[in-house]
Parts: sequence; C-alpha cells; structure tokens
Amino acid sequence: MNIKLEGITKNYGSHCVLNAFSAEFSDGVYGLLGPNGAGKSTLINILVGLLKANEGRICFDGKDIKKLNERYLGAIGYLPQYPHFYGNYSILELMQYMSLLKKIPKSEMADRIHEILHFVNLDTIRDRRISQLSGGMRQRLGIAQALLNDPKLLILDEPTAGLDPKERIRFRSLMAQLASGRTILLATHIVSDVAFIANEIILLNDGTKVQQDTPEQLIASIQGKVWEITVPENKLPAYLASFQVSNARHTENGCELRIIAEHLPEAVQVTPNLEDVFLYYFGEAADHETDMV
Amino acid sequence: MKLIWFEFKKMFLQKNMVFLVLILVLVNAGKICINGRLDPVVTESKVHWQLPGIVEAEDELKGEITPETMQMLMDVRSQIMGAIESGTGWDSEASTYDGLYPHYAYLYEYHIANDEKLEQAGENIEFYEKHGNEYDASVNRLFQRQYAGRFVRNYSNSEDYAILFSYHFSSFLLLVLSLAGSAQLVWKERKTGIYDLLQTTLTGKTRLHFAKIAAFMVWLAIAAAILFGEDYAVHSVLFHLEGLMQPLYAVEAYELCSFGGSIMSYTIFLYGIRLFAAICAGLIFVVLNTLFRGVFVPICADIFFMFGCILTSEQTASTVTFLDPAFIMQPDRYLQNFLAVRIGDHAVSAMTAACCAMLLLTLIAGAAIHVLWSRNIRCTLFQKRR
Repeated sequence: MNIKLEGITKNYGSHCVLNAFSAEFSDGVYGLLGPNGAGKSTLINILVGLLKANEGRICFDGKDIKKLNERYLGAIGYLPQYPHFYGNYSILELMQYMSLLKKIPKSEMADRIHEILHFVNLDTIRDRRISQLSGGMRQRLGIAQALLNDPKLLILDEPTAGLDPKERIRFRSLMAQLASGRTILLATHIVSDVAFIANEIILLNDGTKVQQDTPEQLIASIQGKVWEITVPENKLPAYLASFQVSNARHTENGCELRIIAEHLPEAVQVTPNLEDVFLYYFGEAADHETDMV
Repeated sequence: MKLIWFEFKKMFLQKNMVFLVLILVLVNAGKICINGRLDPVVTESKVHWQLPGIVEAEDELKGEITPETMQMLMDVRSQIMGAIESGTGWDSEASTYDGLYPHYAYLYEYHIANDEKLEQAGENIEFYEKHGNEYDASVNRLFQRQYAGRFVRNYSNSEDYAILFSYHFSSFLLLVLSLAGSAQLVWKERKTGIYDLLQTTLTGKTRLHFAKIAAFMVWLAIAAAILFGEDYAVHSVLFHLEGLMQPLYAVEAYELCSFGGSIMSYTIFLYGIRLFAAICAGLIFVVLNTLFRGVFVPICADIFFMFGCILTSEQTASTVTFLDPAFIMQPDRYLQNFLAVRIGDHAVSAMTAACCAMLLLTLIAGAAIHVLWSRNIRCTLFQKRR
C-alpha cells in the first residue's frame, strides 16, 4: 500500500495552515511530530476527507482519493483527538454502532468485534458503560473502533494525550503489533510516543515539513550539537536565557544542563536523543509545547 | 432501524432527558388539576354532573336516538313541570331534566339544522355561479363537502371532551421538549467531538443525518404520546369522558366544526397534528442551534422563536399563524368553525392550508439541516476550529 501526498496546501483566509506538504507513506509506523498549531490535525483532517485542501492531491495506491471515494474511506481507520465516546453506550454498543456506520456485514460483525476487543483487552468488560471506563480503556476502545474495518491506513490524532505511563507503554505495544501490513500515521507532540515505534518521523512546523527521516537519521543529523555542563545555581537563569536547554537537573555540585548549541566551551559533548531533535528543529515553539515524557 | 435506535439511545436515553420528561409530566398534571378548579367550562360541567339523579338519567338515555325516546324525555319533563306547578314535585328533579333536555334535543335536531345549512349552501352556489363569483361558490361547495351527511344516531353525553380538546398547555410543554431534544441532537455531538469520526465512515452523511432526525422524531412521538396520554388519563379521572365513538359535532362546542369524524378519530388527529407541529418546531430549533456557535446565542434564539410562536398563536387565524407551529398545535382554532382560505378562485379548508404550509416549512428546515450538517467548514456546525 502506498499513500502519496503532493503539494497539500490549506489556507484559512490569508492564514496558511499547511504549505505545499508532500510526503509518501508505505507500510509501517509514521510519526507526525510537531508543536501544537503546526498543522498536524489539519493534515489529518484532509487525509480522512473532513477538510478539502486548497491545493495538492492525495493518491492511494496511485489513484486520486477523490475518485476512489468509498473505496478509500473503507480502507482507513481513524481515531480523532480527544474523543469523548458516548457515556451511556456500553463498549459493545459503541462497537456495534461503529460497525453499522462502517458497513461491516452483519454476518461478520459479532466475530470481528469479539476479535478486536480481545486484541485491545476489553473483551471481558464489553458490557461496561463507557462512562465507567478509565482514560486508557477509552483510548483502547478508540483504537478498537478504528480497527473494525481492518484498515490499510490507520490515522491516530494525539492518541496518548492524557494517558498514564503504563497505558502509554500498552499503547506502544498495540501499535507495534498492528504495524505489519498497514500504514499507521500517528500525529503527536509527545516525542516518546514515536521515539520507540516509528519507522520514520515527519517533523512539521508552521504548516511546513521540516524533515522526514528515520529516528536514527534525525538523531544523527544533530550529532555534535548536544552538550552537558554543570553550572552554579546562580548562573542557571543566564543559561536558560541564552541557550536551548533540553533538560536541567539539580545536583550537589550545581545544576546539570543539557544544551543544544553549535558549540559550547567547557561543556561535554553527548549523544543526542529525539527530544533534542525536537528542540533543535522547533526551538521556541517546542519550549512551550513539548511534553517531555 | 438499528442505526436509528443507536442514535435514539445516544441522544435521548439520558438521565437529564428522562428527568425533564418526568418534571414536565408532573407540571402538566398540576396544570390540569388547577384548570379543573378555574375553567368556566369545567364549572358548567361540574354543575351538570352534580344534578340529582343525573348519572342514572344519562345512563337511561344512552343508546339510539329515536322520536320515541325524544317524546319520552319531553313527556317526563312536562310531567315533572306539571307536578311542580301543582305543588307535588321538586325543583331539583326538574333541573335534572332541564339539564338533560337541551343536549338531547341538540343531538336529535342536529341533522335538521345541518340540512338547512346545506340547502342554503346549495342555493348560494347557484346564486354565486349565476353571478360569476367562482370563489364564493367554491366556499359553499367546500362547506357542502365538509358538512354533508351529518347525523347523530346515538346519545351519549360527550360534552366534557370540550374540556380536553381546549386544553393546550401540554402542547406548550411539547414545544419545550422539542427544544430540549433539538439542543441534545446538536450539542451532544459538539460536546463529544465524535462527529468528525462519524463523517469518515462508509455510511454517507445523508443516511446518518436521516437516522439522527428520525431518532429525534421518535423522541417527539414518545414525548407527545406521554403528554397527550396524560392529558387523556387525568381528564378521564376528573371529568366524564364518554362516547368516544360519537361524532365530534355531538359536542355542542364543536357544532360547526369542519372535522366530520368521530371523537376518537379527532383525538388521534389531535395527537398527530401536535406531533407534526412539534417536529416542525424541533427542526427549526435544530437549524438555529446549528447556525449559531456556543451555547448562549442558540439558546436565546430558540427561546425567542418559541415564545414568538406562542405569542403569535394567541392571535386569530391569519397568514402568519399558518407558519406558527404553536398555533397549529391548537387545531380547534381552525376547525371549530368553518374556515376557508382563498387560493386563486378556489377555497381550501384553513386546516389543510395550515398543514401544507407546515409541511413546506418542515421540508425546508429538514433540507437546511442536511445542507448545514454536510458542510465541512470549521466555523459552523459541530466542530470547534482547531
């Protein structure tokens, strides 16, 4: 399966939200990483057909999705940002409702629902009301409904927002199992969501694609630009003001800082990680938005 | 059907909605009881049913109306009057038959009075046709069609149905439930943010919108049935609702009504027309809720519209009232007397015209909802701008 986005541009009046975005996806997990307001949700909404792009086109296996219409919709699974599934439905009812909407044949519906609920570990509580579920369970239910039509393209918008670390790990494990034979596009501003599972990461800022590469290559691209230095407590404000500080840890000898810079005298060069990459490319925006989990 | 059920459960099987219905049911019961004390029609009915021996006398008269029964009633009445005059009878006994006689006589003579009107209408048609007045001839033809063959065959005192049919407070409550339901229909999806997801499924927007509107209609049908059922039940307990199969014109207040069916068919018609008007109002509420963002402005627009309708419904029938769901919820305003509307040179029953106008309004509102809900523009509808 192949998805190709060519010159996708979206404007709201004079404000350009997406600027000639191009990318190509095949099987695997793709992380769409960027600070809030970078255009991730807009791109996803265009991908799932909720928004029309002002320019550009999307091809699914070489064919324009406008021409494929139902065939394309039948091939995608989507989990929107912060979904509040209906509290008075049970898990099973929501799955049945979504199955109807996705036109799953009646003869297959029960088995399919059972199989997916078992996969996301919700089968034993299928009759429980959604209002009684934890955040993690709801998110798994969101993934379950997205999988009902066995999608070739699974699109998840901020899927781990509000989850505790245990549920995040569980989520990553689900993604890893789902990745074979399909494309998963995972939009997030949380670096750790994609650090371990993404085959490729697309960095998006102000509606423009900044980079698209494997996590290893992205990390390699800032090799030699990450430093560690211990400074007295009283000098901390000055460092914070002058450099991009990706981490600060108080120790007995002062404050140990992790800094991204082209060159930093008296500091020790260290191996970069993906959070450093995020900070390096998104700078000020990342200072405000990154959730360093 | 299953999709409609899911939409219904999602929107309306909610604690807040059930609670609202219960509250309004209590309010309605209270209002009927208060009406039972204050309404002059009710007072008149109470006086009648408190006459000594009236229940037994009414029971005795029930059945086919014949010249013999009429004669018997007249004989009994004159015998009592004679006894009173001679000082051997009691006024109370006379008042019982005084209470019975006029109504029985009304039913006995109804067809005679009606035939006279029909004859007059026939003469009018001839006259107007001769003078080339096609419209007035058409009015009289309509009259003839609507009033032909009227005859009251059986006696039953159905007068208390006038109390039930003139009770319109539950219609107002139905409008409130319609408003609440429409708000639920729009805001539920707004609040959950799931509408984006639903739109990406294979089921088209049209089918999804149809299911939502159908669920809303089911909700209104149930709400209307509860309120109207309560009206009937409470009135049955408080008053004497008898003779369900009698023609509506057997109730004196409906002597000239243009509805020729039975009381039962009018009761069903009343339920249907109130439901229809509630659906029409509900769809307009949905349009208003969809057009405006936030909560405050749509609520104000809804309330403004609702009270506008209620105030307009206090006026006499006019072109404006044809487009007023609150007015059409009181069909006796159109039907209690012969009322025609001019369309070119033809006369159409006001009720038919009002129903057509309401149907048109409903279709326009339905189409507007579909168009508005189908637009993928962030600044309108369910979604917040991101």
